[in-house]
Amino acid sequence: MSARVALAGVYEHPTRWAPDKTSSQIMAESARGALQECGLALKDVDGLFAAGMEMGAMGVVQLAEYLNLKPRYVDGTNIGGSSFVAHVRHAAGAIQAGLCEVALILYGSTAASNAMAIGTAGRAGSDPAAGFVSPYGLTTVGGYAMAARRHMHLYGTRSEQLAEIAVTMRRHAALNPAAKMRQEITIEDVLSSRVISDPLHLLDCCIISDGGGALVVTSLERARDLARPPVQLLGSGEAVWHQEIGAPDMLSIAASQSGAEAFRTAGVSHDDIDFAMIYDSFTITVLLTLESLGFCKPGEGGDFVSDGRIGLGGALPLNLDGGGLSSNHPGMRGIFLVIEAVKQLRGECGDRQVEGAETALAHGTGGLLSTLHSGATLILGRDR
Amino acid sequence: MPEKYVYVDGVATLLRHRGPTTLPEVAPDTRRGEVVLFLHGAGGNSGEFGAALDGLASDHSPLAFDMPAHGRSAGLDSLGSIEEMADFARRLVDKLGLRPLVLVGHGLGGFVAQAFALTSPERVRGLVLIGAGAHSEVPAEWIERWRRVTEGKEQRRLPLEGFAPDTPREVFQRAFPEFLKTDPRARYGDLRAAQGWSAADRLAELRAPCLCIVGEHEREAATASVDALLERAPTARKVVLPGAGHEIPSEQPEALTRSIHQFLGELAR
Repeated sequence: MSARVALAGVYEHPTRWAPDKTSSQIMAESARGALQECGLALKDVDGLFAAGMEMGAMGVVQLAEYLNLKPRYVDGTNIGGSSFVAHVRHAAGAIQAGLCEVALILYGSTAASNAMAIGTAGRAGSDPAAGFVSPYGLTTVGGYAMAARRHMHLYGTRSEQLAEIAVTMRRHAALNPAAKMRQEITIEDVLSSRVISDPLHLLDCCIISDGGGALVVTSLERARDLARPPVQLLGSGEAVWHQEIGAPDMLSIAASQSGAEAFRTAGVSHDDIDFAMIYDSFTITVLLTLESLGFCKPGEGGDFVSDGRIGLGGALPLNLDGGGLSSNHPGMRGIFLVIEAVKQLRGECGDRQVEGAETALAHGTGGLLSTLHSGATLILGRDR
Repeated sequence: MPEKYVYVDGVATLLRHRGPTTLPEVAPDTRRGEVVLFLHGAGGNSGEFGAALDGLASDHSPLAFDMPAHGRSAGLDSLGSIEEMADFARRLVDKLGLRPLVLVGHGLGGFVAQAFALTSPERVRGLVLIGAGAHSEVPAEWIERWRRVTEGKEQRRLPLEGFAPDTPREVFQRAFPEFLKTDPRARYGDLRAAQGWSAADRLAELRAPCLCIVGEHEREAATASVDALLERAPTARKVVLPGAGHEIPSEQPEALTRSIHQFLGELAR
């Protein structure tokens, strides 16, 4: 990478239930939070990046109008929940190319108070393959459940191992005052919660909340003059993965491509990663992502997540905010992966702080594993 | 129907009213007749009072709101106690600058209304209690069922105990979408808040006129609790609605409105 780029400001909207707000309002409040944090104002923003559940084709244009903003660079790429992770990479490219200087990345949604059925809804029917799949009733959770069942079939992975992920995320959420679900749960609780799509139980699935957030990306040089310690973008990757069920393989996911590129461009190894923020739409998402990113071999994910390895104090703590399984999941969650990673690297996470964290990985997944999905990976580091 | 958000201690609270809409931070016009504030039941929301608001609006100033974490108000958990809920209602009344009013409470809302009236008698002109008596008698198995729902061990289903036998389909069609608007955690918290609550010792102090509206098919324990209230509160009287269960606002909105309307007329005399 040429000129270095950094995250200068982040803001996670504290709401989890906002029936009195619109998604635009949540984005605007988040923008104010992130800009104020680093000492910038809306007038400093010249790049606008956004995607959303409630945003149509002209969504970013409408958002610019809502914010009374005239950016010289806009990007409305929507590759599902991972979009905002990819936006950081896109922003870095634009900043390095001189196309903008201060990029604002936004997400906001009232998925919960609008009673959106996200995981149990059918697959959107506009792509050519959907016409052959939708009539059989595949849902979002169904796509993930197939991958989970396949993993169990091939490698003997057990529901208890998937449950370990949900239990760990809840333990982290209990340390996060803003998390939606904070009451600790046990493996038994996960296994005895009702089955949503076999083999995934209710507590294997992310929650649905309202919420949003904002990221401010600029050059490392500029970020060093701002109010908060900058967090440097060390490397990144993005990928979109197969259209057809089972091709090339249900367990081969986009993270294998985006992760390899992120590690290559960052020039770091897996051992350098102090903690990771892994998109946890479902417990199986985390397990497959860890394997595909190369933290363990295919089939070893079940053992990898056991014995406290992914909890605070473990070898690779994951999703310290409680993740989508327990803290918040307003439909698309990628932005929160980056926000928590930045806060952790700045050392401002209190009870849930990973001590001495210097390097982090954030990986977002969008769409449905087993079919059409995307992956975006960032490797972030403290400014040294 | 006009709805607006009122911020009570920072909680976005959905308020339903009638008459002209008003700008944010401007209270609706409540100059007509009696000010009537509706309090919904456990896990409910103010949507159940839509017909009653319509029916009273020509002569009075009816208002209804969603408790925190219910319906379309902000918040994630039940306030957790009847007294907290009464305090919240009082702060809403302060915020709106309402004159002394009539409280109409359904089920748990009826307990909240009693707690409000016993603590601030000077602010309450009358009470209407729908399927609510002197004390709560929440069966332990209801609480257990909703605990299981909050833990994902049971699917949430519209509780049918509250409806009279032979309830027509349209009533369920109205009640079901309202039921879905509240997180099961809030209902669970409400039921626990109601558990063991009693005003029986204090009811002799109740000065405001009180109308108890009870469905013919109300559960026996609840009917007994209403009779206990009538024994202790000298100002209370009872009407029984034939054919109704506990969900009177959904089951018989017209009959409910008529009873309230008549009660309000008597207050004025």
